[in-house]
Amino acid sequence: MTAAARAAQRVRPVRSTDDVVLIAVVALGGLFLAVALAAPLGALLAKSFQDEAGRFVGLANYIRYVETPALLGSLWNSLWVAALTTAIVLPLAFGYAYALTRSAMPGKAFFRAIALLPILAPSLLPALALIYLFGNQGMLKPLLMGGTIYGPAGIIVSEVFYCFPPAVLILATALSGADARLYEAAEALRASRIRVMRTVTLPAARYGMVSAGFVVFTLVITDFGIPKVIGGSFNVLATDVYKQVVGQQNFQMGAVVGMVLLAPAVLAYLADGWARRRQTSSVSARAVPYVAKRRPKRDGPLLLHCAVIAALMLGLIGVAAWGSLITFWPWNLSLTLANYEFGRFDSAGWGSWWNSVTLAAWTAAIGAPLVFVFAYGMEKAKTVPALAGIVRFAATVPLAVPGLVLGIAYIFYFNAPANPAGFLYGTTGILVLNSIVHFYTVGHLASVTALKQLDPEFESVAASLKVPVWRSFLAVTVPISLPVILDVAIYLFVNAMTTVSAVVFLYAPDTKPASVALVQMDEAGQASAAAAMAITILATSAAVKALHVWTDGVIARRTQAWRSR
Amino acid sequence: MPDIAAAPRSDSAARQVEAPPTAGAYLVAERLTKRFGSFTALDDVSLAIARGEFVCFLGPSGCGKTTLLRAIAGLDPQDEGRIVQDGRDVSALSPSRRDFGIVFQSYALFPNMTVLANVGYGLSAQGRRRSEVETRARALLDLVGLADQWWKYPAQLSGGQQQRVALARAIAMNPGLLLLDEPLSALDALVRVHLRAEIKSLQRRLGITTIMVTHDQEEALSVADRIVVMNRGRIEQVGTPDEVYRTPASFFVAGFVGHMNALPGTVTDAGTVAVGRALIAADAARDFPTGAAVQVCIRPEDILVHPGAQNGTWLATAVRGIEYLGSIARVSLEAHGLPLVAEMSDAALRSLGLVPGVSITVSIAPSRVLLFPRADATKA
Repeated sequence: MTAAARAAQRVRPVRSTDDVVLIAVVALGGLFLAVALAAPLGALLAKSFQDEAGRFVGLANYIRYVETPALLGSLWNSLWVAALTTAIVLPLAFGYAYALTRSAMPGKAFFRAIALLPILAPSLLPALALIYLFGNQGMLKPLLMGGTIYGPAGIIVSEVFYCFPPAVLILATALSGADARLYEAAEALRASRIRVMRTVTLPAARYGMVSAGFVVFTLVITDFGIPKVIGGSFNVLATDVYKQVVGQQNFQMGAVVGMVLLAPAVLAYLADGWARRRQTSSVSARAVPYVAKRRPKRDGPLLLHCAVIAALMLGLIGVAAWGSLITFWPWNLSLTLANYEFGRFDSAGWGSWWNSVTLAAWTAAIGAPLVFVFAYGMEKAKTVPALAGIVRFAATVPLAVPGLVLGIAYIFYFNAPANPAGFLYGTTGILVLNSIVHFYTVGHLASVTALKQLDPEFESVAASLKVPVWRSFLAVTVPISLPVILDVAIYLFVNAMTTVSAVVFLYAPDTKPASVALVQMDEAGQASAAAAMAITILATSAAVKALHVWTDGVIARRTQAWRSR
Repeated sequence: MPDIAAAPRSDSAARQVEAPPTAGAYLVAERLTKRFGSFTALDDVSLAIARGEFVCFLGPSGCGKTTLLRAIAGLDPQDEGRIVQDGRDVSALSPSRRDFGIVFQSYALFPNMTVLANVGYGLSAQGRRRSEVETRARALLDLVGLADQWWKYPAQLSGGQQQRVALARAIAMNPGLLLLDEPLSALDALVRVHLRAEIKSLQRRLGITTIMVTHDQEEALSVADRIVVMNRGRIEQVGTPDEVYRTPASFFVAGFVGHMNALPGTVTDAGTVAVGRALIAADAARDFPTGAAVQVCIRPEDILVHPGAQNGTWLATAVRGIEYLGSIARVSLEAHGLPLVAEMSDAALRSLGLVPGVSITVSIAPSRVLLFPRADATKA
């Protein structure tokens, strides 16, 4: 070789307008998450190390926390209630998901819809229904034989109902990734049914189980509505935060409890991420989908299992709906619509429902495009991999942050006199911002999944044709991804409509959402009005969901010419 | 260890590549290097392509051929080195500032646009009048034989048709350079053969400088003016299809392009190599010192079964098996314990009446025996 050859020059690529646009999008996404997520959480962390005057006191607040038996007791309560709920939900949800994916039982679509119904309702709806049945004036109270529904029993039953849908969704996804060839091979090798279950089915669903377990555990530990309504004097972490901040105005201790609440949620989030990574690697792309054949010995019991659960679900919702129409529980059971005249119970009246619809609509209308554009930037900005990686991580953090924690973090952050964004405090704006951030991750992940399915060379072709990236984004990416953007919008709408945990700290009298009004009416002992509000919220979400299904159908018909054959 | 200096062929190709005939070339790549982490995808690659030339980058997967194409397009810029296109240094430019049209294996057609809109996409983005865009797009579709399919969506077309649309779209903006990244790999065998001929004739008619990446050597041999054979991020040989086939510059090229009998041997004198117990006359042996360890390479079609052909090495062999391929057949032979494959026409197979177990004498011309240094063979 000729050593005299001069060294090759290094290349410093000149950034094109497209690159600059994409970098700007990623930077904006990063800025958004920094301002609306990282900074508030930082403020919360800082607050937990300060005294009332704002001086740094190190771990003093945490030490006081550990030395307060009542607070520590709540931590224990939260943990065992969450663990027990998880242990109950998992087998029930596994059976249900197994029936949906691996059996030939009739009415699968119906059972799937019923299982997802609780998503559309505020989390405390089952708690209200349980109070109707087993509360102090409950018609089935004698069945408890002197026990009480207020406390752990009520919390656990309600949480099982509330956590059932996500568990079924995760397990159904894990079970639907079955490779029919494995079952054919097992059958050819004359393995018994139990052996097939143990060696093929369960291993494939193992990580789905882990994932579902962590999700349920986190949901229970961070839920505020149910223990608030049915917990009685049984304290948990989530109600402690509320009491410290709203009841005693003890912001420092509220911050400490918030940090404690964050810990199990973050652990669950990390473990779940680990489990999901395992899950994806276990099913190959060339798998042949499994189609169940009829087998009465298996389908019968599964149908019974699903029917019982569906009946309980419909029953609880039905009781709440019925209760909302009762004149005076349990003394006067004549039907009335008077409970829906919310003005009689709460000064805001129907205004709070309208506030919620406005909040949900803005959250969906701003959040869905924002989430999608940011996700696009993160996927396509190849020239700044490090920045895109950091922002991508930040986009998944909200999943690990309980709504309550985000809520009090927002108080500390936006209420600070020095914050120029302080004007947002007390407006619908802060509720919308909070809701977008609170539910950011699921929308982000859905968008990323959809974007990854597009041909990565669309942008290359567009660049070779000298078409600017924003134009191709609007002309190609958005039309193809419209169903996903709509999914994200509906997800944001439904969640903003039903959430209590974050907004309960952030509303002002004239922006009070329906879910908060519902909590307050329940607090004031107006159970029927609370049930009426819960049903109103459920009906609103269900109507929007129905609209979504219809719109999806229209889009599918309009675009079927070019969607896959 | 064999003496590398005595192996002129394998090294001369590399030297030739390092000092390319850049004068008058349309596209010049100089000393390109590209690394992905610790993996070197392009290792100091230089190349010159003339205006109007059809060049194929050929090599196994992971050899760097697609990386080289993407560096030329600016999609994944090289870490080091220079690319000059039509006298302009484009090394640092983004794809949108360069001048090329591109076709991918996946077609990358916009699914929500009609065929016509796909082809006219770049033109309409330039703000040309709609009628003008449509006229031009229709003319292009006519060129690829899809004039009557303009109203369809890509999903309604066959794979071959989709790739034609992608081709029409790629040449819509009159680019100076056409890049084809494995354009035929996703298609059925018959469509592939048909479409490659069409691509070639279209390229002739338009006179557009074209680079096609492929791992299919038959495809490269049939369409390319020149073939660039790559392996492990380096160029093994640049040459016309017959040069690459008949006089491979390295053992890798000899084995990768076409079929080859490759046997380990030793040079015994200036005109002979020993392979096992057999002695084979080889003109190439004069380039090696006596005793050098070599790879002896003989094309299956150079093992002649018709007696009385010419002087050369005569070997008595036994037929071990026959792989029948229709117009030709590959016959597995054994000569003094050496496995050899001979290729012959169906007619020859019939006239000889070969069946396993039969003995037959074959001849090999000394000029057709290729030799490569042995231990050095895989090291570039």
